[in-house]
Amino acid sequence: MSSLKPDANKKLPVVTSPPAEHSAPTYWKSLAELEGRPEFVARARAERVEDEVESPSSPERRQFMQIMSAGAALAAAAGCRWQEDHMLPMSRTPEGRVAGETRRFATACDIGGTTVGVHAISYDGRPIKLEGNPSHPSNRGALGLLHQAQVLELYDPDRSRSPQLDGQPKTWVDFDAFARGHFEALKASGGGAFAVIASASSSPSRAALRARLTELLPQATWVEWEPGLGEGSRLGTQLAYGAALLPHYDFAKADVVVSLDADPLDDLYPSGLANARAFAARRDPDQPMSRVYAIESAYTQLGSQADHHQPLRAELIRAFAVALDAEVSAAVGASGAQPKPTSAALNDPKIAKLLTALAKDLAAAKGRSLVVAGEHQPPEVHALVCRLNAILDNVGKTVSYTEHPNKDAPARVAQLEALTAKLGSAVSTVLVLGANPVYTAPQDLGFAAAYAKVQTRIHVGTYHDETGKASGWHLPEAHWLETWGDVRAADGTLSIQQPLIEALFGGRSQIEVLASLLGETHTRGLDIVKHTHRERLADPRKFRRTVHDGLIDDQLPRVSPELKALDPIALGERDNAPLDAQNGQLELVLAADSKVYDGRFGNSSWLQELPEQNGKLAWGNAAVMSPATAAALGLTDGQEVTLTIGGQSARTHAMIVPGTARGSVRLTLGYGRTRAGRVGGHDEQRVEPVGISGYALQSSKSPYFAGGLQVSAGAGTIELSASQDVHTMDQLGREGTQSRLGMIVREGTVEKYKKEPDFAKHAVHHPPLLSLWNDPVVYDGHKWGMTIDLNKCIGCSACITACQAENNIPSVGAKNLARGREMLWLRVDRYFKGDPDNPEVAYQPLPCMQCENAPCEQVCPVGATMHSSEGLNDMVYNRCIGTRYCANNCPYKVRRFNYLNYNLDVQAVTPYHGFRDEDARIKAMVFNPEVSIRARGVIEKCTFCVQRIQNVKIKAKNAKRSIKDGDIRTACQETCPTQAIEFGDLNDSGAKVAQLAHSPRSYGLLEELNNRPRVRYLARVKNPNPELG
Amino acid sequence: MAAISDVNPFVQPPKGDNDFARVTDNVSRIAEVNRPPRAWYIAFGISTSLLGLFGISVAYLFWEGIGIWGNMNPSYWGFPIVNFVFWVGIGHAGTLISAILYLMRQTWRTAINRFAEAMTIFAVICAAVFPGLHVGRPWLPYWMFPIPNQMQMWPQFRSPLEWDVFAVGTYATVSLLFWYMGMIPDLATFRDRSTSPLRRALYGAFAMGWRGSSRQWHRYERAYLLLAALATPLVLSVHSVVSFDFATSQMPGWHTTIFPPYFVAGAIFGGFAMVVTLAVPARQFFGLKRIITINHLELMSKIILATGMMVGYAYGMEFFIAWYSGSAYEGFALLNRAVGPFAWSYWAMIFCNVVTPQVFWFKSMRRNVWVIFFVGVLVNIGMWFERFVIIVTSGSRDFLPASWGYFIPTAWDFATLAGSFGLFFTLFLLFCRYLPMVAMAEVKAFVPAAHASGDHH
Repeated sequence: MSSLKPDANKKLPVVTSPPAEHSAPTYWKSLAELEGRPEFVARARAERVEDEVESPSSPERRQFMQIMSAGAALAAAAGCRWQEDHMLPMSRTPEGRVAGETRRFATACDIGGTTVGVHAISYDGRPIKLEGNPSHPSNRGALGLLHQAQVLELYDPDRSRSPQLDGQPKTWVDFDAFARGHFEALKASGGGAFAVIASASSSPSRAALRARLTELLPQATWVEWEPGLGEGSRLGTQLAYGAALLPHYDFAKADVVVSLDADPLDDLYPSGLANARAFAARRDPDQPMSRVYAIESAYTQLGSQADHHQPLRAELIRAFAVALDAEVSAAVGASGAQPKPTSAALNDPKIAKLLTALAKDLAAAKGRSLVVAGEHQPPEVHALVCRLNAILDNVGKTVSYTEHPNKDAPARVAQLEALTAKLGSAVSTVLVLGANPVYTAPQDLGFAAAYAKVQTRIHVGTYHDETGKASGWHLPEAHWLETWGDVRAADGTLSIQQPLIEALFGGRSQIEVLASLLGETHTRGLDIVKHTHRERLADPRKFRRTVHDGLIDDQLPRVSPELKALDPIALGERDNAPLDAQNGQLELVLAADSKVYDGRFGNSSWLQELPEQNGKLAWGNAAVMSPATAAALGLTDGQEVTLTIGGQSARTHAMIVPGTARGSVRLTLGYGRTRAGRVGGHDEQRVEPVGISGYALQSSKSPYFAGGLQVSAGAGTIELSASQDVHTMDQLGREGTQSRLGMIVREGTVEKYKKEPDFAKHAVHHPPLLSLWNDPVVYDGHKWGMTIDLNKCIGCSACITACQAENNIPSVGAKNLARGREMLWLRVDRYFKGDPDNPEVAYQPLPCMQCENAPCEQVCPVGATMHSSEGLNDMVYNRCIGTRYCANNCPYKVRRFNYLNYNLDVQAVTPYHGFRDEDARIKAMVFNPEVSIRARGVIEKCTFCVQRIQNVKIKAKNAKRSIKDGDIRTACQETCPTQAIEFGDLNDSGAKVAQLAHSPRSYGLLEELNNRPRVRYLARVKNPNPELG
Repeated sequence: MAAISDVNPFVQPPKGDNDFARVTDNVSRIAEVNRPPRAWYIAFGISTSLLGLFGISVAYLFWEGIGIWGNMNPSYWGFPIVNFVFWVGIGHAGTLISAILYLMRQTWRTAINRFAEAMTIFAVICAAVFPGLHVGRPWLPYWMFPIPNQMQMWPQFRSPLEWDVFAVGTYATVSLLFWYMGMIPDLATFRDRSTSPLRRALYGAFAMGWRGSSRQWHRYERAYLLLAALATPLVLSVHSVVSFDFATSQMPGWHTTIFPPYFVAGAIFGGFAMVVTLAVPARQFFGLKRIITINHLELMSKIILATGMMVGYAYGMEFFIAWYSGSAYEGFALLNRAVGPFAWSYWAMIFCNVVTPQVFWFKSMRRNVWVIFFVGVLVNIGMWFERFVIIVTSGSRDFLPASWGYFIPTAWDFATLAGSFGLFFTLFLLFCRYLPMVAMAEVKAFVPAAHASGDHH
């Protein structure tokens, strides 16, 4: 956006000449081949430059680039063509390409150093949807919600578009000229004055460049800054084994799982998505079921499926772990145990009973049990967990270790603290790579002030964010979907990232910036990656194969370390505190947000609008506390509160979420951004920050939870923008909810299931369901249906974002959401059951039930919603006049109405003016062309991804074959980490969905209304410890 | 009905000096004076301002979309449908008075039937506006009409909304015909008394050549009787059909068989309340006290009391059936009305519709115009809340607690509601000013002068 000069740095789309034997084709196979000749290259260049003069960052035709990567999926199909490695405009259709047909390209996504394999779905050169790579061991085809939202970030018009120096637009040429001189001088001085603050990354190329940097500038400092992820296990294994190790869990083998404030199923946990799948597989009551205990400060995904859940403040987990160590050691006869603590909380009869039963259960499942702790827990807890797993004989069975890539480094916050002290004095040049420390550093470090004193501040980031603003040089970082790169999964699996589109705003990747700063010979992403893997992937065919497959098997060796004796853990005053905490002694938990993470995804309207797992809060954060804590503080839901800790105060609103530990107040990080963009908050664009920043209350001593919080009530009360429980928390509403829960989420125990497998079918008694008419549709072809296993759903909500990406669902913004105008087709209902201070939680994903006897179809006066011969409730947008009668008559309330022109006018906070302005055109690139964009005034709803059904049907018909089970996968099903959702043809008796639909556990929600829903739920079955009955 | 006809006010007229000329003069003068009473100007000023507000609201609605209102998931319908049912209900009394009371020979109806019919027409106009406005794409409601078209679209006749189109459409047509036909002799009177050529031409055109010959009177009486017979079932059908929108749906609080009679009773109740609300000031300001006597108002008060009790019975019976059905959702829906977040609207409804009319047990209250007027106003408010309770409260908490919500109306909701009153009163005031407000020809049949010999049949 900066200058109208053609960007000389931007690589021109040069078509490589064919290799010698092809250089003068007498007969050309395609226009592309013919046009590979030099005169075409010259013409292409001329055109390109001319075009850029017209509109430097226009996203139109020329930037609808397509990938012609070496060895990508079509390499085999186009085997006789020479290798191309440049982006070409789609104005020249390559051979073998059918316009409008989507293609999948393998790549990989690394967020905060955690890598998953990805298949990017590209439509005419635009990546529009990501799916998991089924062969990648860290996610097995699943993706988390953060991954699903990546395509929206790619097309975010608020991304940084040009290099800047002190706010003035510059070009990469300017920067390169500056950097050459500057870094020569630094190199000459040994680099003592140079420091790098980089976000965590699993990239071997970046690691190699870091090594190269250490070689060239031996005294330079490199700080890895990843504020959202704790390092408990790395530092804990150091204590327990004397070496930093990365634990790998095998939930498939774990009969008893104990989680201490941990969420190993999270999408950013190393192999979290694979863990989720293995964990859920053990929750099948037809197989031997695992038993899960969760002791945690707030409900996690794992905790939601726990058979026994104990809310406990994060600070009390340490004492609990010590006690557990003492109990288990006694039970298995291991020596070297910690003395049993006499903490007040542990004397609580319920907890004492839990501890005894837990130890007994663990000891009985030696070698088949697993203890995990949260990464934000202190190293001692992790050391105890290592010890517990060792004495329970689990090492090598349910848990194994590999060497940690960051073995010897001190804690990140200590590194940043040490660097902050040197800023402006010893360090005069700082390069910030992808991190945002000005916003994310704990407030007591005074990082922003120290950073301002640094003479040369260079920031590389996808957004001109808080750190970008505070820096001299800001350089736009290319999105990972736009660049070549390499990433490594937790278990060592290597993936090559390939660009899916030419960098929209002309950015460079981190490795490209680093390489050019260091004066490397290879400064283009692809060359750097090839150079890094020059030995392993020297053979071009092997390289192509790796790119095509999205991974190369590269398992890190498992180590079998020797357990060290643990020093006695001193328990302080706070460890011994009682279960209830007085105001002033409350605990503040600062956790990375499940949606905006550490704040970096704050400008994603999909993520902002997603209702968070437990509180169902969207668009912001709040001081989350349990009903008991709120009652003790005299707070109501949505009341204004001031949180004061360590001399710092922040104002937010209280939110009451059952299941939160007593005395614990939870505030997620990543909100309150002032330079996120027009969605998440921007000071210059006058967009108010969404939520408040938790970093303002964070101390470097105990970043993730700290005691001594004072909460003072304010006068005002707002309506929290939550998708559920708005105004329903009155007594009547609570009682009404509880009384019908047994019918909505049907649940039993393993014991009950064995005795009476179809207990779920008897949860509701109703008269025989008869109809006056014969069924008008006979379903003699396909009969689409879905099952959702409630015993597998962990509430992660990735399905919602996947659905939003697949089906072009608009965001409506905080105001409209608070008014109840949510548009999400799929929602995940959350119900708490029982004691409000230690409730059970259940999640129920709710798509359209596609009823066979659909109440919506009967009441539409214009026939805009009709039944298909395959059993879908088809919604004809063009015919809909918007009476909303169907939505009223839908007992599930899954129909959504376009109250305003959300796709054009509203789209979260960013105002749209049709597709007239440039930003809108960029944003529109994310749309899935196979799904209509709905205008104002029409109803829309889940279609079972009818476009996917049709695509497979067409392909099958052309190939004259029948559709196999598993050929059609809905977006929610495909991304689900736990495989809770199955979809298929109910007429195909061999189909998994048909078998599950006939499972004794299956039931139809509200089927007593004679709707005959096509989505069937599988009842929850718990496996409680009889001793804790 | 015997009790009512026993006290036919014209048998013992309150003032014995009503003769044919006086009736004609009384009624015609309203339309003939150069300046109507000052109150008319004030009322007309307010009404047209509100009508302007209505215009602005509708223009903004068309520009921006339904989102300007408070409609939300799960209260998808909100104010516009509340207003629709409210206005359709108001539109009941007119035809009831004209047709049913006519067939039952309730002669006292003649004093009020004309403007009750006018009220019906205007209320139905207000009602008909809302379904058109409330649809998401207000340029397309004509798709609900069975118009042959090149798009091969045809309405879906299983939908109660489609039934509404015909029920309300038929009712509006018959009511309009009935009103207009009944007015022809009076329009002829106006024509004959006209002093300006313009008035003569206009009234003359609408009088359709009425000369008052006995053949014309004969035809007129026959046609009137036929139309009355045709309109009578419509009084019962239109609101029954409107109630099907709710009764045939699945939503707890809507899905009840009591709705058709309950809606009809409620409509008559609300309709009569609106008649008295209009009649009291009209007879005051236009000097019609001799024609619309206190006896008429007392009779209407009795009907309000009777229908109010029916409505109260329905409220009670809803609770009984909800309990008796054993359906957890139904029981909760009713409890939620009484003690849920919208309890205020429920109790406002009970107070206005059940408690207030009880004052009419006392004769002194039935004959006090102030009491009658305020009860009429309160009953109208109560009837609006009844529809709010049914539509909004039921919708806000249905089957799955996860989809519950709380409806909060916006300023535009109120503007549109107030604007619809502007539309109604503007039309009504224009009617008062330019058309025969009382059915002169019919009244004349029952004034003492017509029964000089004392026989009254």
